[in-house]
Amino acid sequence: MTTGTTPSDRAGPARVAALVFAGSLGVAASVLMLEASVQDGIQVWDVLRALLILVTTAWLAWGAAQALLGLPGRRRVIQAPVRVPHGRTVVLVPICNEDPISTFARIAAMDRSIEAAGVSADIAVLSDTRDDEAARLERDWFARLMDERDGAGRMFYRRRMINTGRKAGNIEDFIRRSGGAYDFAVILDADSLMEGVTIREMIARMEADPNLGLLQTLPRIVGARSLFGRAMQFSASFFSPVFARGLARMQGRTGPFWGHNAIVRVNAFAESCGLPALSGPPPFGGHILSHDYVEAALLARAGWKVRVDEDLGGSFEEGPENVVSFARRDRRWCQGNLQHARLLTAPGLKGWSRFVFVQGILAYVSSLIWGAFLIVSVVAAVTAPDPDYFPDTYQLFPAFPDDRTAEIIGLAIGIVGLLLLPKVSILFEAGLSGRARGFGGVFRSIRSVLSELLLSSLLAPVMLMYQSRAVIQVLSGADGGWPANQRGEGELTLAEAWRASAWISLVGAAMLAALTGLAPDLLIWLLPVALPMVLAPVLIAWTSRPSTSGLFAVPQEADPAPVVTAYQGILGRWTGTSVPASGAKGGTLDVAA
Amino acid sequence: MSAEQHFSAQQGTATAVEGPHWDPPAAPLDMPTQALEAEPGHFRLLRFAWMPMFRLRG
Repeated sequence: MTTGTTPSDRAGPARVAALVFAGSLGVAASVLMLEASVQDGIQVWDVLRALLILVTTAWLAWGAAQALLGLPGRRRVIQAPVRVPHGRTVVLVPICNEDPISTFARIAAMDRSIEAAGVSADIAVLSDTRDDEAARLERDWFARLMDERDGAGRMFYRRRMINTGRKAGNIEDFIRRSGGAYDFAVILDADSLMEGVTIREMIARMEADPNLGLLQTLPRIVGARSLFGRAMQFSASFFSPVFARGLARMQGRTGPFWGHNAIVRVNAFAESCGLPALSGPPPFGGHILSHDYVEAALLARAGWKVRVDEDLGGSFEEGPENVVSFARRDRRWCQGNLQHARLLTAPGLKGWSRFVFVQGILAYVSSLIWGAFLIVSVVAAVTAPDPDYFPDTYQLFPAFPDDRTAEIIGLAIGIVGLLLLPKVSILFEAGLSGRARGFGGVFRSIRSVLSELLLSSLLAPVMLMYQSRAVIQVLSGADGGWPANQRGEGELTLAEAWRASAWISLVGAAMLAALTGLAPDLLIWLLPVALPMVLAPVLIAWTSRPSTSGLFAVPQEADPAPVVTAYQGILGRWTGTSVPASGAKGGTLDVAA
Repeated sequence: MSAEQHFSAQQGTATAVEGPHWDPPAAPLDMPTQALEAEPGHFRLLRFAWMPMFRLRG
């Protein structure tokens, strides 16, 4: 068998093109906004508004550029032979307070798939579980795994008594104690699933390029049941490969690490990625939360290549089933990304790695900037001086100010266009390349894309509020910690949704009341933002319900990967049910999400 | 006797005991802690200007 890819490392032209595209559109939006303000004289609010729209438009254009760069087909592939026997490999599964049955069922399915692919790999479960009763269950189910898969001598389980450094510290502990026994480590999450043939291909690509320190796959979401979960699952399968390809073209050899479903060269990881605790208290000090971005930057600093190969299939994970779960995870990511502000000036990092940190920060701060833009726009409208129809003392006829409505409408169309451009262009790409067939054909793909656009537009103001609150909390010094994952949390009642989002409804209602009283002319413009906020609990509860409409079809449903089918079978057998329990269970709702 | 030998989960009586036999192989590898905060001099001004923006509260 032959395999392996060596995509081009020359990312300069793509980076320049994307930066010029984003910068010029941001400036154009800012100039248009200033021009629209000229009629009544430029006030300080107008300048502020123009600056805010510069940043938000440039950020939107940056995302669009990433999608456009990913539109051309697959990157250059060079065939390379697979070496047999391959490098010593271990699959690492760090866990912390996870459901042991589904976790070990996944491992059993992967182990079977790895064996079928002819790969020789150990599996190490690295537990950071704090609760002794949960740890006892882990041990029991690990014993069952060992029994069923005859895992003695190649399957390992160890539990840390002190979980220093959380997940990054857990991996680091393994590398320090056992890293010398392996050439490669496949790093997974508790909800990861990977095909054996994919792991074999990853090992081959690592062996084909001795400078490759880390190879990241693009995991597809599986097992989604709710409307929200299925929309995310569709989005991750339909849009993400194109975005990831654009990202890969821009990042070159300074690629991303998303913390799981990736393979690392153990000696490269060991020599480069020992993370320090940052000075000072959390949220900006202490252990590094979003360790994956930092580890990618450190590998690049040491001269190793970090690459994402979006063409690798057979890589899966599960996603949040409702907005509240999503927001809870986002809170942790937000704190981690903002913490990277401490690392922007770290010595020796590649310029692109620093820029990636800035992007990660902007991904969250942009919500706050959008919010600020809306507020400043209202203030600018309310405080604008009345038009002066007779600026001269001896003027016979009134001088009407220029109508700038066309500029404002043009700007609004431009911003909406930027929001739509990536997804619509990916829809065309999928139709032309035949990729849409996997999503139920062209017409079902169009229906799914339009529904996803509608749903994401409805939920965008709600997400904006959660993200803005997260940013403000972190900037205020509130440490969100590392709450345990609540995988399988599914449908929310209206009461649960209300408890988690009543504050958003109240802010939305206050916004509507203020607009009606102060600036009724702006009401129509801000209704698409304020109304979903008022209806946040209804939207959250509605989107958490199981979806039975057939919308958001994805290839992995029509033709499930063998490892997913095997996992569902094992889980069904272990739980005594024919239907996989994952995603179907209720869960304890954390209203503090 | 190892834990997996007296395991009987099918009967719902699983009791496993973690022991050295479950530990990953001992093969220590040095993993030096990286320097991330010792910035070069020309970044100090940038850091001085940047950090207050990220701390609204002490």
